[in-house]
Amino acid sequence: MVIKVNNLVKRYGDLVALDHLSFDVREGEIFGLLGPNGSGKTTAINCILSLLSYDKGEIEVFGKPMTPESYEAKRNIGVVMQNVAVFNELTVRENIDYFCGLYVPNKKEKKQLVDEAIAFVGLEKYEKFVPKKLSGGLLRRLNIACGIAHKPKIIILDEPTVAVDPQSRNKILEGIKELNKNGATVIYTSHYMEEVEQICSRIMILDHGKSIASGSKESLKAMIDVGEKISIELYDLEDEQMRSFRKLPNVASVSYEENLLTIHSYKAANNLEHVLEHIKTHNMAFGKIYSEKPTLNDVFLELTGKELRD
Amino acid sequence: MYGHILKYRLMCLTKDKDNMFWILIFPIVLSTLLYAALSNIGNQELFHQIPLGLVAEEKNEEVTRLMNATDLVEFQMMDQTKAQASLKNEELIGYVLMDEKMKFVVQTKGMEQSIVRLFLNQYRQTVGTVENIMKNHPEQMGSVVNRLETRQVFTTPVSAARAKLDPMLIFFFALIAMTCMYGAYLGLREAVDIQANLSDLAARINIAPIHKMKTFFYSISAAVIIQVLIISVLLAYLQFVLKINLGDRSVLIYLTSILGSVLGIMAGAFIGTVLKTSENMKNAIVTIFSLGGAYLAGLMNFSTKYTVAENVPILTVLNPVNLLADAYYALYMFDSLERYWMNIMYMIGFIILFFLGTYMNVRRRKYASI
Repeated sequence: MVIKVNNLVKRYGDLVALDHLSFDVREGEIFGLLGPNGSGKTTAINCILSLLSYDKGEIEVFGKPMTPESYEAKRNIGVVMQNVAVFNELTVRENIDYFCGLYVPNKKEKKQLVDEAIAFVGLEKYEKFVPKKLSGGLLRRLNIACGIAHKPKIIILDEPTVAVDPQSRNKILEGIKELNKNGATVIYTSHYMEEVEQICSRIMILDHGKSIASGSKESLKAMIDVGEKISIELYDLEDEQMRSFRKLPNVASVSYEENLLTIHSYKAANNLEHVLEHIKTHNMAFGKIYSEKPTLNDVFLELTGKELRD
Repeated sequence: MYGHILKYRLMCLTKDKDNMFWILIFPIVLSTLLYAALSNIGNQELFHQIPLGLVAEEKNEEVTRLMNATDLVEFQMMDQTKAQASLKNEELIGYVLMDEKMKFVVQTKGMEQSIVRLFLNQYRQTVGTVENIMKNHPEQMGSVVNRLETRQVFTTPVSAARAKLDPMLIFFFALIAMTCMYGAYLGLREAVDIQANLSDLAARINIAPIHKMKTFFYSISAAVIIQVLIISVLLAYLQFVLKINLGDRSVLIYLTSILGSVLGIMAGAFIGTVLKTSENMKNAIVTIFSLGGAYLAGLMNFSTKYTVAENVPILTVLNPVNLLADAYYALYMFDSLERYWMNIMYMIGFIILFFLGTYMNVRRRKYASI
């Protein structure tokens, strides 16, 4: 266990930001904290980093209580903040060199680490650029380089892909997987379920400061009753025709809106074959057909009654 | 680690174009403009005597008393015809008829006429009071004379032995003091960059494995170095380019400027850490503190300094820009350093106050909210 959070409570006046939150992060994993905005992800991270005071609970990093003076633990932690936190007056290289130098006093070692960090995030061409000359995606990459240049054992990334173009987002996610492959334990917070599904080996879903579920993505999806979702473009469907779909085996619910019929099946059921057969038998004119496995959003929806994006 | 942080803080502060404009460029431009606009003022006597005619039949005791009552006025005894002719030729600003009413005759209205009128009113009042007491309460004359002798004087004494007062210097002393106080912008920046609840950058720095206070003091030392360099450039520009004589106590002027720079930086750090408001508002407060303070110390109008001293004397002590400007003034004007050291002591007091306030806030290890 590299991080252990036990019974953490953080209040802002009457608002409970973290409500008896407990979890642990195991060495070598990518641990995802998934939740909507305001669910307490960043607050939890700031408590772990000893930036925020908290009302109750214990936090251990590398087996020792975490305090602002836990310099040995801090030396092995790298943080990529939600907002870009770099000096506007310094160039890309100078920024990375400054933050790396706070962890690594040896000049030769530091230079090598800075070179590697620049290469890792692909900013070689922009070394002498100041931040305001960089695009949003490049700026995010600089933000990441500043956090990971000293090769920490634990890397905390707090929503690192917010407002990033798809190309940069993919590069960032690939980079995180590579860092993990090289031995770093990663904590990744996001409200984008696709990202968390894509890279995290274990996930905790947060809502209103509480952990509502945790485990691998497979085990989380297994927690809910909803299975496959089939969407079909059907035109001028009458009520009677729509009701006929409900009678098919394993169908949990049917809805029809704007020429799109949505059929939810029960867990582990594969209904596409039955549905296609039904359309053919009744001679219905159809357009596109989609079949989707349940997502973490479905998990969140079933557990909280609201969409993750709400 | 000190070298690493110092190097990058120096780079950050010197590349901060907004700050550099206000701290370095603005004072140099302002001093050049002030010099161009005011360089003739020094050639005039600041307190030249006002030429005033005195029409009296003879130089009796009453006339002598009036003539000795003030140094502001240069009395010239003459008859009324000559007085009228001199007034017409603008050789006099007016004349006084030495009758019972002491009538004051002028041709035009202006500041000098107003000063004389004020003086004459006060003189008439005092003479009237004394005559009244002599007539009705002669036993109280002793105490009245004592009170008149101990009347508080608000005008600044000028030591003729050391230097002649050049009004332009009041502007430049206030300008140097203002530049020192502009160090508050650097102090404010350092305060914002070290407190995790004020900026994301500070949060990132707080996460690093270095004691927060060490980082802060390393950064503050960078601010002091830059501010001292800036003030050195300004002093050199004033003395060697504009050829302004700041007096022969150059070493003390320089040391005072260093102390003033520290005061400015600590004031900015204090504002940055103690006030719970936005960064923009803090910047505005720093501007008011330094520019407003400079105005009250005589930057725009040298008489403001005296007006403040006369009407709100506490402001002269509470305004750090004035303390600094007055320290330069005392170095230039007086042989005795008593007034200078008094200003220095007040400044050190402010530095200690600002330091303690900053320290109490910066030393916080965790924040209640970020």
